[in-house]
Amino acid sequence: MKQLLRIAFRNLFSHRGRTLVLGGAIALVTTLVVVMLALTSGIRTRMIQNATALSTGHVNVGGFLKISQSSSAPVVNHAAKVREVIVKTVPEATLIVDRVRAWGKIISDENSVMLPMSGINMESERSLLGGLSLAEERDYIEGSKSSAVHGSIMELEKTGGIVLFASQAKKLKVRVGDMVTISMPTYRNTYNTIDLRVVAILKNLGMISSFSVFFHHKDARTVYDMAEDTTGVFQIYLPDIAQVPAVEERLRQSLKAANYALMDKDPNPFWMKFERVAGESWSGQRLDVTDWQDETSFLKWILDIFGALTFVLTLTLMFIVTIGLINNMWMSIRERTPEIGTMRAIGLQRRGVMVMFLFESLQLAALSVGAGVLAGVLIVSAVNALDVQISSEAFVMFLMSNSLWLNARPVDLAMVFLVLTLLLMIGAFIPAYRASKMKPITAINHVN
Amino acid sequence: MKKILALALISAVAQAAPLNPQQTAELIKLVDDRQRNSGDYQSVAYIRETEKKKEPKVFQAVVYRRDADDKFIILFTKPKEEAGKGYLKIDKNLWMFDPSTGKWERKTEREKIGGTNSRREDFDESRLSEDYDATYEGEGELGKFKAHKVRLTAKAGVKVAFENLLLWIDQADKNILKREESSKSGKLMRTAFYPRWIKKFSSSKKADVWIPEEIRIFDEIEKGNSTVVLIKETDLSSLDANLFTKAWIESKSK
Repeated sequence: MKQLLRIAFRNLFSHRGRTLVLGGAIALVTTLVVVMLALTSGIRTRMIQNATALSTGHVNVGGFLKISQSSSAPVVNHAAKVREVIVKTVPEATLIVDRVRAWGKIISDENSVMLPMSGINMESERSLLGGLSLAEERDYIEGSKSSAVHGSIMELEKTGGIVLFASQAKKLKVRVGDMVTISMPTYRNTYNTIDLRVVAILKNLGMISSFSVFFHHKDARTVYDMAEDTTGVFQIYLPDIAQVPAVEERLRQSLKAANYALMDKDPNPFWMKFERVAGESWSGQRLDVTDWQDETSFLKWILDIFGALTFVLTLTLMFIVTIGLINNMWMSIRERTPEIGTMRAIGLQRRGVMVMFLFESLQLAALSVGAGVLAGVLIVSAVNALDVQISSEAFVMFLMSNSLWLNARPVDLAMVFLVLTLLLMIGAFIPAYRASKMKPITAINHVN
Repeated sequence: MKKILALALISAVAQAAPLNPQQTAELIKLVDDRQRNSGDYQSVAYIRETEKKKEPKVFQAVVYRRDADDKFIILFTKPKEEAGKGYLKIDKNLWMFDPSTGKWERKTEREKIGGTNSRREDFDESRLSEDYDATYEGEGELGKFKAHKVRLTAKAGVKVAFENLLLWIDQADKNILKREESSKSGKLMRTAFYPRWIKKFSSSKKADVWIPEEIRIFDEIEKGNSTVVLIKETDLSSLDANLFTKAWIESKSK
């Protein structure tokens, strides 16, 4: 077997030019695949980080209160009792925060925008939101080149303030210190308003930040006309995101056992459920257990696009490279037909011929794919080290980050190496099989 | 006869002096009564929606009411893309039919009709005395009209879009001239003017019914947004018995 390996390697080496071109192509494709996967993984990781800071816990217990059949308010009544059940059921939770959920119109002197909003208790959310960066003036003031930042999210420790993201501030044409009016229906469906001062404008964090606005939980309760022992959602944070399905199921069981009515699973954020809930004929309180993926389902298409793009690109390039490899093998077999005949004549079995060519393909594939993976990892590390800042709003929206961040996960690298090597081996199988089927006498007499 | 005399008396007193709580409540009841029609109602509504920095949009709809049963329909006929969209109020529920999806959705009282700044109650029977408690705020002048200013506050447990209203009621003919609608917090949200009223004889009521022919609504929060509602071709004769059904609206949208 060692002999066959050596012959295969020498053959690759003796046709260095051809080997380098084909190996280079395979390595290039591999590098592209690694970078695309790292980009998709980076977006996904950023999305989880941003979403779990801005709009969802790993698992959430929210709900709707319907005081009449046609109403739908994102309210959890008797919040203290619900919290008790959650604390008992999820002792491993690293953090449980509750937020008042609201959906309404923010109106400035210049414009208005409908948005989901969160009434927060800054004291308990310091670890989640305290690290968010303030936007520079040029991020939200048309024509400005100033990098000055104003305000502080910590101002939300007091009532009367609102924190927006740069894209929202730009649309509303407001600056820190300006007043805006929030207009929304109370949970009894009567219009209510509150005037708030913009206390901070945060840097955009992709599309998810377009759907996040924060104000004080007391202001949220006032405008929503809610009692003290009510909230909108409990956001539960876990030490490991892989625990989400188990914890979600456990919570459903516990809440059912505690006689809470639960809503059917609907993998959508709460603000997409108003119309559906209003159209349902029940009234009273129902709790809704969701996970971070449900609450960010409106962003899933971005990951789907990148996933599909990576898949199509990989498939196309792999097809081209595999055709190249097959062609390379045919050329090699054709050139070495007399040699195959001689080896068969001195006792090499058909299986040996096939193994020899498969070894050749394996060595080429493994070395090239390995080099491609290595190059991919180097590129990913270089990009991350350079901390490439993205100025285009469209890119920030899609990439969910202000800087280009790639995440080359070891599991992805191992998968790329194994799958691409295996695919190339499969591509080489037919030429290798055909070579093994040659009759020794025909092969020896073959004239190139 | 007694009722007419009582109303005439209130009317005479109201023109002369500020109203006490009972007279104020009677005045609001009178405002309701003048607009109420115990039978059926049909009209064509033209709605012109003007939004800041946008081209104005014009809608045409047919409004049907059966006030005795608290039933109500608005069926959009123009523009083409809105034609067939319908609102139906039955059993205290407001439903909307979207012909593009063929589905019905339950809507709330505060639903903006057809996405405009008009609401169901702009087209529906007046129920101010049932939904609100009235307080007399004083007299005022609105152009050449002398008016009673009456503050209305929603009664506990009643579902209304606006908890606070300030009405300017014409002292002479008891029609609403101006209506200010404020949020629960007291912030002024909408101002509506009623520059033209017409009266039609209702055979079911056996008396005249007053109908606002034109309503000009101004958004007080998003300054620059306004809506004009024109109510034309009002007909108070009986409607088809089976009109107020989902099936009827669906059939009209085909």
